[in-house]
Amino acid sequence: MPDELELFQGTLDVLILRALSHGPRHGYAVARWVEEGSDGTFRILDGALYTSLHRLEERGWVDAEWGISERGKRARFYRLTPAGRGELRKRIRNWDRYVVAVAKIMAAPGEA
Amino acid sequence: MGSSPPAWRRYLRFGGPDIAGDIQDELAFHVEERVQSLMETGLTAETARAQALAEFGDLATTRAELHAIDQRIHHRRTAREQLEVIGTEVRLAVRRLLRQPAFTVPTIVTLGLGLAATVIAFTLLQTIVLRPLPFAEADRLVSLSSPMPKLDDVWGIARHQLPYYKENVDAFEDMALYRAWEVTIPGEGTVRAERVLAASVSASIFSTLRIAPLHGRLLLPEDNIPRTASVVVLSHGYWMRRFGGDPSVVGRMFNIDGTTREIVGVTPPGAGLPDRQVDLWMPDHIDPAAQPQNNHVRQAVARLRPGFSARDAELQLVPVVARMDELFPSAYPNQWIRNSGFRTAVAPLQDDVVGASVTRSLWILFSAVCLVLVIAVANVLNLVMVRADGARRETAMRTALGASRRALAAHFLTEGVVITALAAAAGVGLTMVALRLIPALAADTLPRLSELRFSWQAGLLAIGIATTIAVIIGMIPMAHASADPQVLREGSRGLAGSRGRTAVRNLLVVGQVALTVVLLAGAGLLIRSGLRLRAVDPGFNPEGVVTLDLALSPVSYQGYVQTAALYRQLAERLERVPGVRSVGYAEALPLSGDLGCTGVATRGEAALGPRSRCIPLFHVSPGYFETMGIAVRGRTPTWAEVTQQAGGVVISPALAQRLWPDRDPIGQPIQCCSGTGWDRVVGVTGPVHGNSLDTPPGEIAYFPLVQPDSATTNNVPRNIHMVVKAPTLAPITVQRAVADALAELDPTVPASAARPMSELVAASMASRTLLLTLIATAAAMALILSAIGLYGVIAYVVGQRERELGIRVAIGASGRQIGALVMAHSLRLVGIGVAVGLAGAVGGTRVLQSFLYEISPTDPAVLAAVVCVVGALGLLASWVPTQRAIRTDPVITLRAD
Repeated sequence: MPDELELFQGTLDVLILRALSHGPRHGYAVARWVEEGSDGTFRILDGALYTSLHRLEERGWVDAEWGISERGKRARFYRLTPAGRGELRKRIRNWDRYVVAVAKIMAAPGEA
Repeated sequence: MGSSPPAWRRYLRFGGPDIAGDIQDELAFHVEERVQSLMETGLTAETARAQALAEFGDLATTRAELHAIDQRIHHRRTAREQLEVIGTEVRLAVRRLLRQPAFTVPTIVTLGLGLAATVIAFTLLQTIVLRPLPFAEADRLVSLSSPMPKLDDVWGIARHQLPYYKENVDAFEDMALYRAWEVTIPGEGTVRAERVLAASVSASIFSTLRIAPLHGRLLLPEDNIPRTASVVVLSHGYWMRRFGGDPSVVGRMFNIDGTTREIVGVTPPGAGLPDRQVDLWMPDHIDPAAQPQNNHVRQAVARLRPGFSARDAELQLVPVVARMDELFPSAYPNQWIRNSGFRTAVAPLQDDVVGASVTRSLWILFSAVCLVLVIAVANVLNLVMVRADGARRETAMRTALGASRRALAAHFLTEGVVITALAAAAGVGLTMVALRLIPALAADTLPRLSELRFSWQAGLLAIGIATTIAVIIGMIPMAHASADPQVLREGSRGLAGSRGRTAVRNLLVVGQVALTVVLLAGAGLLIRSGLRLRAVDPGFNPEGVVTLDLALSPVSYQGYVQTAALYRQLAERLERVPGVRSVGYAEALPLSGDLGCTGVATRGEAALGPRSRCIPLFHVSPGYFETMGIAVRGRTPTWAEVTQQAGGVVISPALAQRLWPDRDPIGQPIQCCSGTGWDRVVGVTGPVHGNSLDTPPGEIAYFPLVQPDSATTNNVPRNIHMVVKAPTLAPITVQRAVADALAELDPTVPASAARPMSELVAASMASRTLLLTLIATAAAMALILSAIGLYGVIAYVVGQRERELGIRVAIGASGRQIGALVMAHSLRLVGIGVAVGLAGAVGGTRVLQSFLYEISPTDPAVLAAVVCVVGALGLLASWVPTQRAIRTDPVITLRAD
């Protein structure tokens, strides 16, 4: 297993929004999606994940609702609002530009 | 952590969301899932739990953070929901109100007018009476005057009193003298010659009023020493108007009345004399070394030292004044101060500037308008009650269906707030418009109108009144709302519960009628007294007479010969204009308020003797009496006599009576202004009201333009009023004719615009007319409002008694009997209202006493007229509902069940 990387706050937000873009999920499902999707590269404290989820709710990007989990337990489900979907699109675009720009600088010849 | 939340916690949600519980549940679910999935990889329950908690991080901190976030979310959501609820209520209320224009329109109009009237009256009162004058620490400023009880007169202050009082009256921190008159600024290139108002002041006026220079310097005490001063200070307004605000004018020379003066400074915007704004400030000639004179014609203002009152200053002045006989024997021979009862009165400057009459008028107006507001509110209450009765079934239905009292209250309150907000908006709009119009309409009658603004206090008053009304309007339907489902079964038979409400309504109408009677009585008294005043014969005939002012330069017209010649030539040219009957000149016009006064005497009595009076005395030309239509017994001097200095004085009968009670005054010697030459009385006029129509025609002396004595020949007035009798010509035609004639004689002489003499007479009654107009408007509003109120109640009562009336008709009552029944109810209300109102009027109209001319505040004719008007309007208001009652068809009414 390679070293675990710390995530920046903004990055965690965009990962959560991405996780919810497939449909409503509860917090645990979001955590699992991030872990599995990154093959364990990112180490997210679950507490930070929940703080992030509630902040996104405060900003109006996600909505929360009580529902029943796959195993029949009462769980809080989050879903993207239209505003959240727009925010996700914007952040993906910015992310792409960021990655391309950083990659280009990194690929430039020089001391390694 | 249990697998499901305890059931009891759900009940907490009735008091709002359970934030802590929800967070607890959400995090417990997460940890539980994590534990499960770890156990599936083969860990024991304990290890799995430990690892799950470790992966979570600091549970307590997270919980606290989430709690804070969720609380913010909750608050925001609640606020939004409440706004939505209010928005919906308002929308519904507006829709309901729009559906009932018969209720909404009169309510908004009534309340809007009532509110506007109150706020306007308040703003006038606040601006003019309550707010301090626009000077620093204005409450320490006082005005001085010289009452002389034994001469029955009040004079101003003399020059020598300034240094004397400043030195000897401890209560005065500072003191100043001032006067104001018009001066001529000659034309320059394309700039026309103009007449401007100049203040002639002691230099101390600026320190007393705390005025600092905007540019250059103000006046210094040494500027007051020379006889003809060489400096002038510009007011901000004049500086902007004439010089476009150019600061380099300081140091420039400027021609005033033919004398060149240096502009030494500019005063800041708004700086003016206590009682008026001026264009120029010139130093008065006040030399402490000069010989004191008994010449009390200046106005005086003083600043009290902190801690001293006007009364203190007055007391300190008593011994100071008593020493004046001794200290200034040249001015006060023969113990004149003591013999005349001369003293110095000290009054707060504000009282002097605003005046008791204006203060009283505005308080009366404000009280009257408050009564109108009360009537307006009573009216609206009536409308609301009628409407609430109509909505009783609906309210009962809502209650039966489970609407809470709180929901109902919100419903009615919203309606009250919406309708009052609309009325308040209309009222404030109306106020703004009125406040812009008033300064132009009342410019000559009210002081301080340039300071008129919509103040925050007025805004607060409007909001306060509106809120009170909104709550009352909102609460009444609540009081009416019955939770008793019985109402639903009542049908049209329900009369029992309405008895109390009808009583309230009757009371409202009685109150309205009573207040209206009081206001009408006040208005009636003022109108009757105004009519009486108008019927007073002024002693001259203003019909067809126009007047304009001329101003001759003291430099070009130094000698009497030249001055009199110009007047004569101008008159002769004008008399040749077709339509002009006669032309004359006078130094002062009757009823114009600028008569001034001087002493006159006959042989054997000094002009300023203890028994002398200060009376209006002015120079008039031949043709004056003829033009003004003043009857003269004897004769008047001709132009030829004037040119030859032949003299000839015309006096009023009151003066003749005082000086020669037992002799024919014609031919008697007369002398003016102590020490000038003797002249002879040649004519006696009829009684002329000089100062005002409401004071008896007093003593006046008319001296010829040029007096025989060489010492006074150069006192020919150079600022003069021209009067022209030309009944068929418009004032503007006369003005053009004068301008044409002057263009040929001397184009440098400025002439003012022509005004009809009748306008001057009307202006002398303007302050009475203003109060009359305002009170009459208030009374008219009250009358209309209470008629509407009465109509509403009678119509309602007829509607309520329809069934009873139907039965009466069915058992044989005639239309006439039915009509009498309804009319009796109406007249009973009006009768009680009138009786109460009359009692109030007898007590209340006493406040008008000082405004009434030869009429008692309980004038029976006025009170009788008021009773008739209110009675007639009462009949009219109940006529329509009565007709409806007479047409009651028993079949229809009885079948309605």
